[in-house]
Amino acid sequence: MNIASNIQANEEKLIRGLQQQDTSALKVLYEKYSAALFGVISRMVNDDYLAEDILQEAFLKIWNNAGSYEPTKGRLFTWMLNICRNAAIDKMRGKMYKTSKKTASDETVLYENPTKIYDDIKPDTIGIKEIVDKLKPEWKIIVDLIYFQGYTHQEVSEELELPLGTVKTRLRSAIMYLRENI
Amino acid sequence: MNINEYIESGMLELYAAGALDASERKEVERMLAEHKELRDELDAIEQALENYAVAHARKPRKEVFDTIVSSIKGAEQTEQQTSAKTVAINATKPRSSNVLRYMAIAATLLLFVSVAINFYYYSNFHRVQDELAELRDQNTFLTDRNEVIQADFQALKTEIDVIKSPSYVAVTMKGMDVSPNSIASVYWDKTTGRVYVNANNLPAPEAGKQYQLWALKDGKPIDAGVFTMSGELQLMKNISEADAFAITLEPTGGVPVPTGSIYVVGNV
Repeated sequence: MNIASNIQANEEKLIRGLQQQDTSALKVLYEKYSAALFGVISRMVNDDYLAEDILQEAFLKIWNNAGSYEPTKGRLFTWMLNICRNAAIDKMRGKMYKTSKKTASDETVLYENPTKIYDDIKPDTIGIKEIVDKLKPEWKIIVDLIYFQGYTHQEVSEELELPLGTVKTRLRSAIMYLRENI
Repeated sequence: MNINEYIESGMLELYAAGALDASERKEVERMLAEHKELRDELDAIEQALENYAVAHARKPRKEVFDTIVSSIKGAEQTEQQTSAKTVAINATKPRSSNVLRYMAIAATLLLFVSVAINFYYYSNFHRVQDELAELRDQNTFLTDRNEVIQADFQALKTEIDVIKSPSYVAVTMKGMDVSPNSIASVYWDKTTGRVYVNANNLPAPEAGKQYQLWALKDGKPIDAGVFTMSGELQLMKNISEADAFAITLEPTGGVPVPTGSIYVVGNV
Protein backbone atom coordinates (compact mmCIF):
# COMPACT_ATOMS: atom_id res chain seq x y z
CA MET A 1 0.00 0.00 0.00
CA ASN A 2 2.83 2.34 0.94
CA ILE A 3 4.81 1.40 -2.14
CA ALA A 4 1.75 1.86 -4.34
CA SER A 5 1.05 5.35 -3.00
CA ASN A 6 4.75 6.12 -3.36
CA ILE A 7 4.63 5.14 -7.02
CA GLN A 8 1.50 7.27 -7.38
CA ALA A 9 3.29 10.23 -5.78
CA ASN A 10 6.32 9.71 -8.04
CA GLU A 11 4.13 9.59 -11.13
CA GLU A 12 2.41 12.82 -10.16
CA LYS A 13 5.81 14.39 -9.67
CA LEU A 14 6.95 13.20 -13.09
CA ILE A 15 3.80 14.56 -14.73
CA ARG A 16 4.26 17.92 -13.03
CA GLY A 17 7.87 17.93 -14.19
CA LEU A 18 6.79 17.27 -17.78
CA GLN A 19 4.13 19.95 -17.62
CA GLN A 20 6.78 22.41 -16.41
CA GLN A 21 8.95 21.34 -19.37
CA ASP A 22 11.64 19.85 -17.10
CA THR A 23 13.87 17.61 -19.26
CA SER A 24 15.19 15.79 -16.19
CA ALA A 25 11.62 14.55 -15.56
CA LEU A 26 11.57 13.36 -19.17
CA LYS A 27 14.83 11.51 -18.60
CA VAL A 28 13.44 9.71 -15.54
CA LEU A 29 10.32 8.81 -17.47
CA TYR A 30 12.35 7.59 -20.43
CA GLU A 31 14.64 5.46 -18.33
CA LYS A 32 11.70 3.93 -16.55
CA TYR A 33 9.42 3.17 -19.49
CA SER A 34 11.24 3.40 -22.83
CA ALA A 35 12.27 -0.28 -22.91
CA ALA A 36 8.75 -1.53 -22.27
CA LEU A 37 7.30 0.90 -24.83
CA PHE A 38 9.98 0.10 -27.39
CA GLY A 39 9.26 -3.61 -26.88
CA VAL A 40 5.65 -3.05 -27.84
CA ILE A 41 6.40 -0.72 -30.75
CA SER A 42 9.03 -3.00 -32.27
CA ARG A 43 6.57 -5.86 -32.13
CA MET A 44 4.03 -3.76 -33.99
CA VAL A 45 6.23 -2.58 -36.84
CA ASN A 46 8.87 -5.35 -37.13
CA ASP A 47 11.51 -2.78 -38.01
CA ASP A 48 13.83 -1.48 -35.30
CA TYR A 49 14.77 1.74 -37.16
CA LEU A 50 11.14 2.57 -37.75
CA ALA A 51 10.37 1.57 -34.15
CA GLU A 52 12.98 4.04 -32.94
CA ASP A 53 11.44 6.81 -35.07
CA ILE A 54 8.03 5.99 -33.63
CA LEU A 55 9.39 5.96 -30.07
CA GLN A 56 10.94 9.39 -30.64
CA GLU A 57 7.75 10.79 -32.08
CA ALA A 58 5.75 9.30 -29.23
CA PHE A 59 8.04 10.83 -26.60
CA LEU A 60 7.74 14.23 -28.25
CA LYS A 61 3.95 13.86 -28.06
CA ILE A 62 4.22 12.77 -24.42
CA TRP A 63 6.39 15.83 -23.73
CA ASN A 64 4.05 18.21 -25.51
CA ASN A 65 0.76 16.72 -24.28
CA ALA A 66 1.65 15.91 -20.66
CA GLY A 67 -1.04 18.37 -19.59
CA SER A 68 -3.79 16.25 -21.16
CA TYR A 69 -3.01 13.16 -19.07
CA GLU A 70 -5.82 12.43 -16.60
CA PRO A 71 -4.90 9.99 -13.79
CA THR A 72 -8.57 9.05 -13.22
CA LYS A 73 -8.69 7.49 -16.69
CA GLY A 74 -5.78 5.16 -16.11
CA ARG A 75 -2.12 4.73 -15.33
CA LEU A 76 0.58 6.88 -16.84
CA PHE A 77 2.12 3.88 -18.59
CA THR A 78 -1.18 3.00 -20.27
CA TRP A 79 -1.53 6.59 -21.49
CA MET A 80 2.01 6.54 -22.87
CA LEU A 81 1.51 3.16 -24.49
CA ASN A 82 -1.67 4.42 -26.19
CA ILE A 83 0.33 7.30 -27.63
CA CYS A 84 3.03 4.88 -28.85
CA ARG A 85 0.46 2.52 -30.31
CA ASN A 86 -1.37 5.32 -32.15
CA ALA A 87 1.93 6.70 -33.46
CA ALA A 88 2.82 3.24 -34.76
CA ILE A 89 -0.62 2.76 -36.36
CA ASP A 90 -0.34 6.17 -38.06
CA LYS A 91 3.10 5.24 -39.42
CA MET A 92 1.91 1.87 -40.65
CA ARG A 93 -1.12 3.38 -42.37
CA GLY A 94 1.16 5.75 -44.27
CA LYS A 95 3.58 3.09 -45.39
CA MET A 96 3.03 -0.12 -47.27
CA TYR A 97 2.47 -1.93 -44.04
CA LYS A 98 -0.93 -2.99 -45.27
CA THR A 99 0.70 -5.82 -47.20
CA SER A 100 2.87 -6.99 -44.36
CA LYS A 101 -0.04 -6.57 -41.93
CA LYS A 102 -1.83 -9.37 -43.74
CA THR A 103 1.03 -11.72 -43.03
CA ALA A 104 1.33 -10.37 -39.51
CA SER A 105 -1.57 -12.52 -38.40
CA ASP A 106 0.69 -15.47 -38.99
CA GLU A 107 2.40 -15.95 -35.66
CA THR A 108 5.77 -16.94 -37.11
CA VAL A 109 6.00 -13.67 -39.04
CA LEU A 110 4.58 -11.70 -36.09
CA TYR A 111 7.66 -12.31 -34.01
CA GLU A 112 10.19 -12.51 -36.80
CA ASN A 113 11.85 -9.10 -36.98
CA PRO A 114 13.75 -8.71 -40.27
CA THR A 115 15.62 -5.61 -39.18
CA LYS A 116 16.41 -6.64 -35.64
CA ILE A 117 19.48 -4.63 -34.64
CA TYR A 118 19.88 -5.85 -31.09
CA ASP A 119 18.67 -8.64 -28.86
CA ASP A 120 15.82 -8.53 -26.41
CA ILE A 121 16.99 -7.44 -23.01
CA LYS A 122 16.34 -9.63 -20.02
CA PRO A 123 13.68 -8.06 -17.79
CA ASP A 124 15.01 -6.88 -14.47
CA THR A 125 12.50 -8.91 -12.54
CA ILE A 126 13.62 -12.51 -12.70
CA GLY A 127 10.77 -14.87 -13.38
CA ILE A 128 8.39 -12.55 -15.21
CA LYS A 129 9.43 -13.92 -18.57
CA GLU A 130 8.88 -17.47 -17.37
CA ILE A 131 5.43 -16.58 -16.06
CA VAL A 132 4.52 -14.84 -19.31
CA ASP A 133 5.78 -17.78 -21.29
CA LYS A 134 3.38 -20.00 -19.35
CA LEU A 135 0.38 -18.04 -20.66
CA LYS A 136 -1.92 -20.31 -22.63
CA PRO A 137 -1.26 -19.66 -26.39
CA GLU A 138 -4.98 -19.01 -27.07
CA TRP A 139 -4.95 -16.31 -24.39
CA LYS A 140 -1.58 -14.92 -25.37
CA ILE A 141 -2.56 -14.33 -29.02
CA ILE A 142 -5.51 -12.23 -27.88
CA VAL A 143 -3.41 -10.15 -25.46
CA ASP A 144 -0.75 -9.65 -28.11
CA LEU A 145 -3.16 -8.68 -30.90
CA ILE A 146 -4.94 -6.12 -28.69
CA TYR A 147 -2.16 -4.84 -26.47
CA PHE A 148 0.78 -5.09 -28.83
CA GLN A 149 -0.89 -4.74 -32.23
CA GLY A 150 -3.68 -2.27 -31.46
CA TYR A 151 -6.55 -4.47 -32.62
CA THR A 152 -10.04 -3.75 -31.29
CA HIS A 153 -11.97 -6.66 -29.80
CA GLN A 154 -14.18 -6.72 -32.90
CA GLU A 155 -11.13 -6.99 -35.14
CA VAL A 156 -9.74 -9.82 -32.99
CA SER A 157 -13.07 -11.57 -33.15
CA GLU A 158 -13.06 -11.33 -36.95
CA GLU A 159 -9.38 -12.17 -37.30
CA LEU A 160 -9.49 -15.28 -35.13
CA GLU A 161 -13.12 -16.13 -35.99
CA LEU A 162 -14.08 -16.17 -32.35
CA PRO A 163 -17.29 -14.83 -30.75
CA LEU A 164 -16.88 -11.41 -29.06
CA GLY A 165 -17.76 -12.96 -25.69
CA THR A 166 -14.94 -15.46 -26.01
CA VAL A 167 -12.44 -12.69 -26.84
CA LYS A 168 -13.58 -10.83 -23.74
CA THR A 169 -13.39 -13.89 -21.50
CA ARG A 170 -9.97 -14.98 -22.74
CA LEU A 171 -8.50 -11.49 -22.35
CA ARG A 172 -9.89 -11.28 -18.84
CA SER A 173 -8.55 -14.75 -17.98
CA ALA A 174 -5.11 -13.87 -19.32
CA ILE A 175 -4.96 -10.71 -17.27
CA MET A 176 -6.25 -12.49 -14.16
CA TYR A 177 -3.45 -15.01 -14.61
CA LEU A 178 -0.86 -12.24 -14.88
CA ARG A 179 -2.28 -10.47 -11.83
CA GLU A 180 -2.13 -13.60 -9.75
CA ASN A 181 1.31 -14.76 -10.80
CA ILE A 182 3.48 -11.67 -11.13
CA MET B 1 -25.64 -3.75 -13.50
CA ASN B 2 -23.83 -3.78 -10.21
CA ILE B 3 -20.12 -3.17 -9.83
CA ASN B 4 -19.11 -6.82 -9.60
CA GLU B 5 -21.04 -7.69 -12.73
CA TYR B 6 -19.38 -4.81 -14.51
CA ILE B 7 -15.95 -6.00 -13.38
CA GLU B 8 -16.70 -9.54 -14.51
CA SER B 9 -17.97 -8.35 -17.91
CA GLY B 10 -14.34 -7.86 -18.96
CA MET B 11 -14.91 -4.24 -20.13
CA LEU B 12 -12.14 -2.91 -17.92
CA GLU B 13 -9.65 -5.35 -19.45
CA LEU B 14 -10.67 -4.33 -22.96
CA TYR B 15 -10.34 -0.71 -21.92
CA ALA B 16 -6.92 -1.18 -20.34
CA ALA B 17 -5.57 -3.18 -23.28
CA GLY B 18 -6.83 -0.60 -25.75
CA ALA B 19 -9.44 -2.72 -27.54
CA LEU B 20 -12.34 -0.26 -27.36
CA ASP B 21 -13.47 2.38 -29.82
CA ALA B 22 -13.96 5.98 -28.77
CA SER B 23 -17.62 5.75 -27.68
CA GLU B 24 -17.01 2.55 -25.69
CA ARG B 25 -14.04 4.22 -23.98
CA LYS B 26 -16.23 7.21 -23.04
CA GLU B 27 -18.74 4.88 -21.40
CA VAL B 28 -16.04 3.12 -19.35
CA GLU B 29 -14.54 6.47 -18.34
CA ARG B 30 -17.97 7.58 -17.12
CA MET B 31 -18.20 4.44 -14.95
CA LEU B 32 -14.65 4.97 -13.70
CA ALA B 33 -15.41 8.53 -12.68
CA GLU B 34 -18.37 7.30 -10.61
CA HIS B 35 -16.87 4.26 -8.88
CA LYS B 36 -13.65 4.14 -6.93
CA GLU B 37 -13.81 0.30 -6.91
CA LEU B 38 -13.64 0.29 -10.70
CA ARG B 39 -10.64 2.61 -10.64
CA ASP B 40 -8.83 0.27 -8.22
CA GLU B 41 -9.72 -2.75 -10.35
CA LEU B 42 -8.52 -0.95 -13.49
CA ASP B 43 -5.27 -0.06 -11.79
CA ALA B 44 -4.60 -3.73 -11.01
CA ILE B 45 -5.43 -4.72 -14.60
CA GLU B 46 -3.15 -2.05 -16.00
CA GLN B 47 -0.39 -3.06 -13.61
CA ALA B 48 -0.65 -6.66 -14.90
CA LEU B 49 -0.51 -5.51 -18.53
CA GLU B 50 2.37 -3.20 -17.73
CA ASN B 51 4.24 -6.15 -16.32
CA TYR B 52 3.45 -8.08 -19.45
CA ALA B 53 4.94 -5.25 -21.51
CA VAL B 54 7.97 -5.11 -19.25
CA ALA B 55 8.43 -8.84 -19.83
CA HIS B 56 8.78 -8.04 -23.52
CA ALA B 57 10.88 -4.98 -23.03
CA ARG B 58 13.71 -4.14 -25.41
CA LYS B 59 16.07 -1.33 -24.61
CA PRO B 60 16.32 1.14 -27.48
CA ARG B 61 19.78 2.46 -28.43
CA LYS B 62 21.16 5.27 -26.35
CA GLU B 63 21.09 7.73 -29.28
CA VAL B 64 17.30 7.58 -29.31
CA PHE B 65 16.94 9.63 -26.15
CA ASP B 66 19.58 12.11 -27.34
CA THR B 67 17.57 12.59 -30.54
CA ILE B 68 14.42 13.20 -28.51
CA VAL B 69 16.16 15.78 -26.31
CA SER B 70 17.76 17.54 -29.28
CA SER B 71 14.47 17.71 -31.17
CA ILE B 72 12.82 19.18 -28.04
CA LYS B 73 15.62 21.75 -27.83
CA GLY B 74 15.38 22.33 -31.57
CA ALA B 75 11.66 22.96 -31.22
CA GLU B 76 12.36 25.30 -28.31
CA GLN B 77 14.98 27.12 -30.35
CA THR B 78 12.60 27.48 -33.23
CA GLU B 79 10.09 28.77 -30.75
CA GLN B 80 12.65 31.17 -29.34
CA GLN B 81 13.62 32.25 -32.83
CA THR B 82 10.00 32.76 -33.64
CA SER B 83 9.54 34.78 -30.49
CA ALA B 84 12.82 36.57 -31.22
CA LYS B 85 11.44 37.39 -34.65
CA THR B 86 8.27 38.55 -33.01
CA VAL B 87 10.38 40.69 -30.70
CA ALA B 88 12.31 41.99 -33.70
CA ILE B 89 9.10 42.79 -35.50
CA ASN B 90 7.78 44.40 -32.35
CA ALA B 91 11.06 46.28 -32.04
CA THR B 92 10.68 47.72 -35.51
CA LYS B 93 7.06 48.56 -34.91
CA PRO B 94 7.74 51.34 -32.38
CA ARG B 95 10.22 52.83 -34.90
CA SER B 96 7.63 53.09 -37.60
CA SER B 97 5.11 54.29 -35.07
CA ASN B 98 7.76 56.80 -33.88
CA VAL B 99 7.91 58.15 -37.40
CA LEU B 100 4.16 58.34 -37.37
CA ARG B 101 4.28 60.04 -33.99
CA TYR B 102 6.77 62.63 -35.24
CA MET B 103 4.66 63.17 -38.32
CA ALA B 104 1.63 63.59 -36.10
CA ILE B 105 3.50 66.08 -33.90
CA ALA B 106 4.75 67.96 -36.98
CA ALA B 107 1.26 67.99 -38.43
CA THR B 108 -0.14 69.28 -35.15
CA LEU B 109 2.51 72.03 -35.01
CA LEU B 110 1.81 72.98 -38.61
CA LEU B 111 -1.85 73.09 -37.77
CA PHE B 112 -1.16 75.42 -34.83
CA VAL B 113 1.05 77.64 -37.00
CA SER B 114 -1.59 77.64 -39.70
CA VAL B 115 -4.29 78.53 -37.18
CA ALA B 116 -2.09 81.32 -35.79
CA ILE B 117 -1.42 82.70 -39.26
CA ASN B 118 -5.06 82.41 -40.14
CA PHE B 119 -5.97 84.20 -36.94
CA TYR B 120 -3.39 86.92 -37.67
CA TYR B 121 -4.64 87.42 -41.21
CA TYR B 122 -8.23 87.18 -40.10
CA SER B 123 -7.75 89.89 -37.47
CA ASN B 124 -5.76 91.94 -40.00
CA PHE B 125 -8.54 91.45 -42.47
CA HIS B 126 -11.02 92.67 -39.87
CA ARG B 127 -8.84 95.64 -39.00
CA VAL B 128 -8.51 96.51 -42.69
CA GLN B 129 -12.21 96.00 -43.17
CA ASP B 130 -12.91 98.36 -40.26
CA GLU B 131 -10.47 100.88 -41.67
CA LEU B 132 -12.06 100.58 -45.08
CA ALA B 133 -15.51 101.14 -43.60
CA GLU B 134 -14.18 104.16 -41.74
CA LEU B 135 -12.62 105.53 -44.90
CA ARG B 136 -15.82 104.89 -46.77
CA ASP B 137 -17.74 106.77 -44.10
CA GLN B 138 -15.22 109.59 -44.30
CA ASN B 139 -15.51 109.55 -48.05
CA THR B 140 -19.30 109.70 -47.87
CA PHE B 141 -19.06 112.49 -45.32
CA LEU B 142 -16.63 114.41 -47.51
CA THR B 143 -18.78 113.85 -50.57
CA ASP B 144 -21.80 115.07 -48.64
CA ARG B 145 -19.81 118.02 -47.35
CA ASN B 146 -18.64 118.66 -50.87
CA GLU B 147 -22.22 118.63 -52.11
CA VAL B 148 -23.22 120.99 -49.34
CA ILE B 149 -20.29 123.24 -50.10
CA GLN B 150 -21.04 123.00 -53.79
CA ALA B 151 -24.67 123.91 -53.09
CA ASP B 152 -23.60 126.76 -50.79
CA PHE B 153 -21.10 127.86 -53.41
CA GLN B 154 -23.75 127.66 -56.12
CA ALA B 155 -26.14 129.67 -53.99
CA LEU B 156 -23.46 132.27 -53.25
CA LYS B 157 -22.46 132.33 -56.88
CA THR B 158 -26.11 132.93 -57.87
CA GLU B 159 -26.33 135.68 -55.27
CA ILE B 160 -23.10 137.24 -56.50
CA ASP B 161 -24.20 136.83 -60.11
CA VAL B 162 -27.48 138.50 -59.25
CA ILE B 163 -25.81 141.28 -57.28
CA LYS B 164 -23.07 141.87 -59.87
CA SER B 165 -25.39 141.50 -62.87
CA PRO B 166 -25.98 144.80 -64.76
CA SER B 167 -29.49 143.65 -65.69
CA TYR B 168 -30.53 143.51 -62.00
CA VAL B 169 -31.62 146.63 -60.17
CA ALA B 170 -30.80 146.63 -56.45
CA VAL B 171 -33.57 148.17 -54.32
CA THR B 172 -32.75 148.84 -50.70
CA MET B 173 -35.77 148.84 -48.39
CA LYS B 174 -35.47 150.85 -45.15
CA GLY B 175 -37.16 150.20 -41.82
CA MET B 176 -40.51 151.82 -41.03
CA ASP B 177 -42.00 152.72 -37.61
CA VAL B 178 -42.60 149.06 -36.56
CA SER B 179 -38.96 148.19 -37.07
CA PRO B 180 -36.85 151.30 -37.83
CA ASN B 181 -33.47 149.45 -37.78
CA SER B 182 -34.49 146.78 -40.24
CA ILE B 183 -33.11 146.71 -43.72
CA ALA B 184 -33.75 144.44 -46.71
CA SER B 185 -32.81 144.27 -50.37
CA VAL B 186 -34.59 143.32 -53.57
CA TYR B 187 -32.80 142.48 -56.84
CA TRP B 188 -35.08 142.85 -59.80
CA ASP B 189 -34.46 142.13 -63.50
CA LYS B 190 -36.85 144.33 -65.37
CA THR B 191 -36.53 142.42 -68.65
CA THR B 192 -37.13 138.94 -67.25
CA GLY B 193 -39.22 139.98 -64.21
CA ARG B 194 -37.11 137.86 -61.87
CA VAL B 195 -37.08 139.03 -58.25
CA TYR B 196 -34.74 138.01 -55.39
CA VAL B 197 -35.18 139.13 -51.83
CA ASN B 198 -32.55 139.31 -49.11
CA ALA B 199 -34.06 140.05 -45.73
CA ASN B 200 -31.77 138.97 -42.94
CA ASN B 201 -32.25 141.52 -40.21
CA LEU B 202 -36.04 141.62 -39.94
CA PRO B 203 -37.35 140.63 -36.48
CA ALA B 204 -38.25 136.93 -36.15
CA PRO B 205 -41.94 136.59 -37.05
CA GLU B 206 -44.39 135.40 -34.36
CA ALA B 207 -46.01 131.98 -34.73
CA GLY B 208 -48.58 131.77 -37.52
CA LYS B 209 -47.08 134.78 -39.29
CA GLN B 210 -44.83 135.08 -42.35
CA TYR B 211 -43.26 137.99 -44.20
CA GLN B 212 -44.66 138.77 -47.65
CA LEU B 213 -43.03 140.86 -50.41
CA TRP B 214 -45.04 143.33 -52.40
CA ALA B 215 -44.29 145.27 -55.55
CA LEU B 216 -45.93 148.68 -55.71
CA LYS B 217 -47.03 150.09 -59.04
CA ASP B 218 -48.79 153.42 -58.95
CA GLY B 219 -49.54 152.93 -55.23
CA LYS B 220 -51.14 149.50 -55.97
CA PRO B 221 -49.58 146.45 -54.21
CA ILE B 222 -48.75 143.35 -56.32
CA ASP B 223 -48.09 140.05 -54.51
CA ALA B 224 -44.49 138.86 -54.94
CA GLY B 225 -44.80 135.84 -52.58
CA VAL B 226 -43.94 134.85 -49.01
CA PHE B 227 -40.42 133.97 -47.82
CA THR B 228 -38.62 132.45 -44.85
CA MET B 229 -35.83 133.93 -42.76
CA SER B 230 -33.09 131.81 -44.31
CA GLY B 231 -30.49 134.55 -44.67
CA GLU B 232 -30.07 133.80 -48.33
CA LEU B 233 -31.31 135.38 -51.52
CA GLN B 234 -34.70 133.93 -52.26
CA LEU B 235 -36.32 133.80 -55.65
CA MET B 236 -39.75 135.38 -55.55
CA LYS B 237 -42.67 135.64 -58.03
CA ASN B 238 -41.95 137.46 -61.29
CA ILE B 239 -42.74 141.10 -61.30
CA SER B 240 -43.04 142.97 -64.63
CA GLU B 241 -43.52 146.53 -63.44
CA ALA B 242 -42.86 148.23 -60.11
CA ASP B 243 -42.12 151.68 -58.61
CA ALA B 244 -41.27 150.40 -55.16
CA PHE B 245 -41.02 147.18 -53.04
CA ALA B 246 -42.32 146.61 -49.48
CA ILE B 247 -42.49 143.78 -46.92
CA THR B 248 -45.47 143.27 -44.60
CA LEU B 249 -46.07 140.65 -41.87
CA GLU B 250 -49.06 138.52 -42.87
CA PRO B 251 -50.67 135.23 -41.78
CA THR B 252 -48.66 132.17 -42.94
CA GLY B 253 -49.16 131.43 -46.62
CA GLY B 254 -49.69 135.05 -47.49
CA VAL B 255 -52.70 137.12 -48.48
CA PRO B 256 -53.87 138.65 -51.83
CA VAL B 257 -54.06 142.13 -50.39
CA PRO B 258 -51.72 143.45 -47.64
CA THR B 259 -53.36 143.55 -44.17
CA GLY B 260 -50.40 143.83 -41.75
CA SER B 261 -47.96 146.62 -40.94
CA ILE B 262 -45.25 147.52 -43.41
CA TYR B 263 -41.79 146.64 -42.02
CA VAL B 264 -39.55 147.93 -44.80
CA VAL B 265 -40.06 149.88 -48.03
CA GLY B 266 -37.80 151.19 -50.80
CA ASN B 267 -38.21 152.93 -54.22
CA VAL B 268 -36.84 151.53 -57.45
